[in-house]
Amino acid sequence: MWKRIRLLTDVQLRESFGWNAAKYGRDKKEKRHLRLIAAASAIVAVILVGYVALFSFAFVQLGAEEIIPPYIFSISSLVVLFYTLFKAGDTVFNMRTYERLAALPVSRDEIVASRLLTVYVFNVAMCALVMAAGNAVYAAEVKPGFSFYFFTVVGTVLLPVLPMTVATAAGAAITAVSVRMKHRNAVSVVLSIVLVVVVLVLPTALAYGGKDVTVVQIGNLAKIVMAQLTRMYPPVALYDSAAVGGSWPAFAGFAGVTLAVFVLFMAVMRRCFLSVCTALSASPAKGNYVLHRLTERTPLSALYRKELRRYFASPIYVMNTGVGYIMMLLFSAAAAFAGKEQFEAMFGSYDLIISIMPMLLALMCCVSVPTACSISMEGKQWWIAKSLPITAKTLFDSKILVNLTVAAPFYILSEVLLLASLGINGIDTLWLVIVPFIFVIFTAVLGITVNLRLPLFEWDSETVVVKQSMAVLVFMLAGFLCGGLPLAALFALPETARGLVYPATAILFSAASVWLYRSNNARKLNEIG
Amino acid sequence: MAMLAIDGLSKTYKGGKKAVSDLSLSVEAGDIYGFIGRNGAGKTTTIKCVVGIMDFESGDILIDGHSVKKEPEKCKSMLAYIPDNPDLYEHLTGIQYIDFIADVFGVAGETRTQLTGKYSQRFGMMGALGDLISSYSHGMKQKLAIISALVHSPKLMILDEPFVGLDPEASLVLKEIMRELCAEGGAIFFSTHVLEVAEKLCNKIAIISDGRIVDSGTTQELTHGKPLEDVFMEVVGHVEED
Repeated sequence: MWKRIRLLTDVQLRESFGWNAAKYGRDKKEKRHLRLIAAASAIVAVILVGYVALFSFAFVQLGAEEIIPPYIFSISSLVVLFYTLFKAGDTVFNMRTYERLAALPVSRDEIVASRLLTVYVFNVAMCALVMAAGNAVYAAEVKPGFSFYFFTVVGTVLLPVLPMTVATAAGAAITAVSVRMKHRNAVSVVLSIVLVVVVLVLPTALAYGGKDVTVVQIGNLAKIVMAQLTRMYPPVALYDSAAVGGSWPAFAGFAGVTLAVFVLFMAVMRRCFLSVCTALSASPAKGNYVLHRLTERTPLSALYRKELRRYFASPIYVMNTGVGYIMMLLFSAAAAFAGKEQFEAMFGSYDLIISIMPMLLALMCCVSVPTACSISMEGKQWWIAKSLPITAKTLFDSKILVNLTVAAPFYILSEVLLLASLGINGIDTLWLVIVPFIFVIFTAVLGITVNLRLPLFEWDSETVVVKQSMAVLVFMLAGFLCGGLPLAALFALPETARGLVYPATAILFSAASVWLYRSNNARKLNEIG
Repeated sequence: MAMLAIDGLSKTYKGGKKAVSDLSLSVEAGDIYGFIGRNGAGKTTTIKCVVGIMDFESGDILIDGHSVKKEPEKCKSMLAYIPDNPDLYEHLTGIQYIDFIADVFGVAGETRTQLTGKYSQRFGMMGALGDLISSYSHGMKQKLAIISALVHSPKLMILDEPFVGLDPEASLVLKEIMRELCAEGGAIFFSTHVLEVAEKLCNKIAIISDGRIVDSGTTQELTHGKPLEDVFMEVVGHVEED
């Protein structure tokens, strides 16, 4: 049994990460592409490690080093939760690949176990990276005993199990709720967003309960953060007692809870795995269509409607490419409800936050955009666009329009919330409206530029395009660079020169948008892919 | 003027593999032109170059006198292409896909309604048009691709292995439609491995081997009354010996 599980996992991992194509493939372009993906992934990993280490140093500076292990643990759990939530449908419950395997002499349990193991391997590698970075800072500062290292290593191995289990169960539950509905993908997207918002916002709301944060509370940072982490994810209290407090019973409790939930989950999975797979892959066919008069539209309108349907037909596409806009809205809502006093308490200076607010919103547009993988998402259907009597401009315009349609409500709501609550006047209002607006357009155009140069049409799973493709990684790096530079300039330049940053940013990125747009449209469709 | 004129087409893939070499042929209005050859002979590459999906380094392809290289949109607006594997937009329903194609080709509302009804009835697809394409079988997708191609009344139809996956009834309907389209002044250029179909349906045939046309002409000239299968084996066998 274990041999077969290992074999199946090995095959899935090879497929997911393109190892075989890199090792045995003859296509030099694809090999180069895979090497670039590996390099970009390494860069992202280095940034992640650097970010976690910096965050940990910040806790040390604030005299709250004991919060590092539980904080890092919670962040890792959250990452695993969201990563698995959006991957479960495509990897764990993929009916197409299940049918391929079901014909072989392997049991259903072995297939399920190998799929969970595939997701686990990726999660544990990610967690190890984050945990190592944060705990290295903690260990260097506190110099803990043997038990800390033991709990950290075994804890890292156990860490992904619980959030993975919860996410897979939640993914299955969302499917179960939405599967019988007419617009099941839209329902699935909405439920996923609600889940994300609940997980991120509810603990904060519960923690503060409308009360103001005071400077005294900031001084007592460790307790506040720990209370919030425990509300968000209760097992962290057990892990904290073990890793920081050296409690063996607490660690045994953590390991016991983790394994018990997993065993229970596996028992449920044995019963309902096939039903969830079938529900996810089913396309109900009625066969009772009656033809009515069809109406005509322009080619751009037709392409736009097709693209919009494509976008909302895939929850994983929506959730991964809309995350930046969701963050923008959540941030604006938090800023609006926190008010001036709490801002001053938390960040020291209200003016500072107001001055960087336009760039913070702009930076969130750079996290991910639908256009960055919109060409790759055409997949095996790319021949249709190439064989139609349309120009590259019409096709790219339709994709940019869908991007703007998705971004518009988030942008408008964020602006309304901030302008209504923060009491900003004059030139600050202008930049708060204009700079994020320019970045919404710039990032939509940049997404096309990046995906045009790094398209990926040969894929079986949308996850590969949306999460792991070179275009998405490069967009993220380029986006952070574009959004980060003006932000860095705001901090680095002397106060007298800061007034120039926003006009310069607006002019520079407007010009860049026009230039990229024109250069994209000059491409011939038959030269792509 | 030829509906399709390929003149000295050569296509080399990036890895250095020469797929098509100095290929020339001409399809006139009213022709049903069969394109036959072994797997990997260069049929699909030629077709992809013709329909503007693939770029090529030398030669030219003219559709009704317009160059695929210089006026790609004009050429594509006159032809319909049906690939060997009809990967269609699975998130659309059948009718949404037809409507999408008709919009892009600028087909008037009344015309598209009438033609959709006509061809959907003939292929027995009317009831399924409201269902998502992801629920269709391979054959149904093939039928939908054909219906959407016919909705914009193309002057030239390019088909790559059109009979693979079609049931006998649909194959018969497709053959009837191919004949009707040619009788109305259109032209058909299609690749096939089914030599009996080519022999019975086509008035002209070209045999391709290793990216080169090794024999072509009217079906009568090519076969001289012999079965096409024998002619094919003879011609391709000769090329291999050389």
